[in-house]
Amino acid sequence: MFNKNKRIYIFSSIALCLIMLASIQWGAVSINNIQMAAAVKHFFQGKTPSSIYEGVFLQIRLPRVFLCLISGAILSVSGVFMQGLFRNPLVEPGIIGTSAGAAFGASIVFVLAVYLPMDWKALVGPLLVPLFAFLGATLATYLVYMISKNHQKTSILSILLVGLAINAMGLSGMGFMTYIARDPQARSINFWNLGTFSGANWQQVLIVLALLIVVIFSIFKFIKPLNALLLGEEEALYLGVNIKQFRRKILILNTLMVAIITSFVGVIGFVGLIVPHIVRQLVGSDHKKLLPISMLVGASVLLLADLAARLLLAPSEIPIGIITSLVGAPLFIFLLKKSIFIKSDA
Amino acid sequence: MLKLQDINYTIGAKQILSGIQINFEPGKLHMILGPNGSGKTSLLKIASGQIQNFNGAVFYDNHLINQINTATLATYRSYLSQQNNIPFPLTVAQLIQMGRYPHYSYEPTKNDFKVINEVVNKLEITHLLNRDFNTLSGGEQQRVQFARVLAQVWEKGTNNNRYLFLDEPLNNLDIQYQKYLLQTIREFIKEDLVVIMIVHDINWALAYADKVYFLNKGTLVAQGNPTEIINEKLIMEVFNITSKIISIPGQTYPLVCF
Repeated sequence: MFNKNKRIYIFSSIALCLIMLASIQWGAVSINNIQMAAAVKHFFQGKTPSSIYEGVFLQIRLPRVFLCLISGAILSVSGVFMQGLFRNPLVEPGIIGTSAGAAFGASIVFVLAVYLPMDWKALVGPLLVPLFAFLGATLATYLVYMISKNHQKTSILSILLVGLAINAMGLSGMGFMTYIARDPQARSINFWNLGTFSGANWQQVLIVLALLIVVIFSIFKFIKPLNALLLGEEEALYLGVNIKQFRRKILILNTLMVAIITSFVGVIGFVGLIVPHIVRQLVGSDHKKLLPISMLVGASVLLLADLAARLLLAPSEIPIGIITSLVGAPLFIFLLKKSIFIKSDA
Repeated sequence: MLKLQDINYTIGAKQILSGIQINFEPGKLHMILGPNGSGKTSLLKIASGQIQNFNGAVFYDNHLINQINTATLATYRSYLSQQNNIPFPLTVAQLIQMGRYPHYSYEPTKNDFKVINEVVNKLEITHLLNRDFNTLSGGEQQRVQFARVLAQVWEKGTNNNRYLFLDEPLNNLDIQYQKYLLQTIREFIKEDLVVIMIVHDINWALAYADKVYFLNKGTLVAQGNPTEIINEKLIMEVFNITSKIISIPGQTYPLVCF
C-alpha cells in the first residue's frame, strides 16, 4: 500500500502516540481517559482542576512527557550530528564528554549561586545554569575535536580516548562541586549525574520546544553537507561544502542542544548512540530520512526509558540515565568490537 | 584554461613542490606522471582548491581560485580521490546522486535525474544502483565514484570551462575497465573540458594523453606531447630504470618496455 519509507514514518508516529498515551496515564498515580478529558475541558474553560488526578495530569505528567519526548528527539539528532561530523557511528554527546562538560558547567553555577548577590539569584535557574552548561559543553567538544584531529583524519580510538579523559575531568569537576556543596544541593548534583525527568515543568518544556523548532529548521540545511561528509571531508569540499563554516555551525548548534537538555534533565547517555544505530538499520544513512526518523524513534525510546524508570521500582524512581546506559553500553561494546577489531580503521 | 603560476608548497621543512608553472588547456586530456612522493597528488589538490596554504597563484578562466565561491566552483569542478572509506551503509544510487548536490538546493530536479541516468547508463553500472557501496569490490567502488564525479560536471556551464581531476582513477580496475574508463574519458572530452589525471602506466599515457607532465622531487622536469617527449633518457632520469621504446607498425604511438 505505502512504500517502505512511508510505512516507517507511519509506524513510528503511531508508536510514539501510543507510548505518549501510556506515559501520561501510567505512573505512581494512574490517570484514566475520563480524568484526562475532564482536565482538558476544565483547562479550556479556565477552571481550576477539580481533582488531584487533573492536577497530576496537567502539572506533572504532561510537562514530563513533553520534556522527555523532545529531549529524546534532540539527543538523537545530536548523536546523528556528531556521528556525521566525526564520520563515526560510535560518537555521541555522552561518550565524548559534551554532556559531562555541560553538567560540570551547570553544577558550578548551581553550587556557587549561594555566594551571588540577592538580585542575581533570580537569573540562576533560567539563564545562568544553561549558559554555563553551554560553556562547559563547548569547551569539552572543542578539546575532543582539536586533540583527536590529527592532520586530515580523526581516528576513532583517539576520539574515544580523549573523550574518556574529558569525561573524567567533567566528572571529577562535578565531584569537587559535590564535595564543597551544602547538603541539599549535593543531592541534586548527583541526580544530574544520572539524569531524571522528575523535575519537569512547563517553563522547561517551552524552552526545549523553541530549541526543537530551531533544530528542525536547521536540519533542512544540514542534510546535504552531512551526506557529503559521509564520503570524507575532502570530498565534501569538492561537492561545494564550506567545511570550516559548516563545522562551526553544527558544533555550535549541537553544543547548545546538549547544554540545554543537560542543564534541565542531567546526563542521559547512549540515546544518541542507540537511536541512530537502529534507524540506520531501517532506512540507511541518507540524512534526509535518518534525521526525521531518528527524532520520532528517539522520542519513543526515551519515553519508554522514562516509563521504565518510573514503573520498575514504583513508587520510587530510578534515574533514567541508569536505564539508558544499561541498554546502551552493551550496544556500544558491540559496535566498538565491530569497528575496531574487524575493520581495523582505528 | 587552468593556470598554475609559480607554485611552491612546503610541509614543515620539506619542500613538496617548487616553481611549478603549467597552463592546462581545455579540450585536452592531461596526464601527470612521476615516482611515488614526487608531489603529484599535492599538485592536483592545489590545482583543484583542496590545499590552500601554498605560494603562487591558481587561475580558473582568469579568476583567482580563492576568489571563487566554494559552492560555485563545485558546479564545474569535480575530483576523484583515492580514498573510498565510507564508515556507514550507503547505496550506490545515493552516492551518485551526491554528484548533483552542487546543482540543486533541496530536491533533485528532473534534469538531475536525467544526468544521473545518462551517466549510469554510460558507465554500465545500472545493476549496482541498489547495492550498499561497502559491499562492492574495489574496482566497482572506483567505477561508482567515477560516475559521481562525472555526474557533477556532466553538463556545460554557461560562461566557464569544466574541470575534472582524477587521482589514479585506474587503481583497482582490471585491464578491460582501465581501457574502458580511458575511452569513456576520451569520448567525454569537449572543447570546454579540462581533464587532469594522475597515472602510473607510461603506455596508457602514450596511448591516450594529449599532454603529459613528469614530476620528480617536486619539480616539473618535462611537459609536452607524449610521443615527442617520452624517451629512454627521460624515463631513466625520472624513474631510475632502463627501458626500451619500440614502435609498433600500424599504430600511431610507440610502446615502452621495461
